[in-house]
Amino acid sequence: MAGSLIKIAETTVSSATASVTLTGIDSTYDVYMVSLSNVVTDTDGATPIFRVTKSGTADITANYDYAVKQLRTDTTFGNNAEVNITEWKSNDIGTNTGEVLNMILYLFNFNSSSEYSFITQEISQISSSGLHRARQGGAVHTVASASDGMQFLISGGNIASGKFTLYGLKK
Amino acid sequence: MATNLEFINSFEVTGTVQSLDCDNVFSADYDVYYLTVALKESSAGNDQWIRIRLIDNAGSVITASEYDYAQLNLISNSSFVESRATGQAQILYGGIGYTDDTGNGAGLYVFNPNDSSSYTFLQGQGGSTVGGTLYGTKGISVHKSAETIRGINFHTTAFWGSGTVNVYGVK
Repeated sequence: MAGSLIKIAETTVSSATASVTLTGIDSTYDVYMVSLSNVVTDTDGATPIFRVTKSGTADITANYDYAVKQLRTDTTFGNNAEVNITEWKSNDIGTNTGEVLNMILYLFNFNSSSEYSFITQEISQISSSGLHRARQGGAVHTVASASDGMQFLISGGNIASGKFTLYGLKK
Repeated sequence: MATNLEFINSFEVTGTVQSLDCDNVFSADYDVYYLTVALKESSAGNDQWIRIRLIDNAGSVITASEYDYAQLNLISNSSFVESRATGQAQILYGGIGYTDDTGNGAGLYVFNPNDSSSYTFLQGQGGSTVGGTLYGTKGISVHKSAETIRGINFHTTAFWGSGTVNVYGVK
């Protein structure tokens, strides 16, 4: 692990931006990691969503599945799962102090033209209702074609600020 | 080749202790940090959770009731157990688990500690044995005070006889 991350792309948002796309995934590495820190929206209750990109363009077809455990500090944990939807997502975020998204994704098989693109996700965020929550689990894009990156946007709002970084895990 | 997971410092348990300060590790150089945690109790039968507090910009361990956390305990021989609390004086369930006389191993991400206008978020996962039973853990935590954090403290109500915490910056 030590010394094993190679930065490929990074975007820091400091004013309202509709989306961020990180590309550069190819055969250089088998596994990639994405880090999102301090992501803030300009619209209360908006939902961060993310998709794979094919040749730099987000794939919006209904081929996204996910299954996650929702950790939360206020009540019983939940199970969340969906199939054949048009994006992956976190819980909504708000505009009050501390209502931000932090997330680590690991990306598997993205460069393969014959396998699905898999991710694991670890999120630590405060939602628009002020609750500390997390979606921890896995997801898949059920299309056997190469993905070259990830797109991040906020449904119903803009990205107001945040840092988005794509790394390769050195072989 | 220069990489983007940069080693910052290592902190080793020496003697028999109940607390380990990892001070002066968070700075403006990074937004995201990764810590490896491996701590081992000095004698059998105590089996205590690893507790976490943060260290403020003056070098003081923060003991105010400003921590929220949630953790899923994945127990190898029984049903999984949820743990959560808000407004606590420490992070008891941060995802990095127990230690006992056979030790533990865990990874912990820390987001935005140096940002004086942001809360500090953590998410971790670990593996421990408790009386011979495997406990996997996944957890999230937040320090709900917008201030600069420069370090992290691990402590226990038992005693540690050995162990190491390594701190890396995700550049």
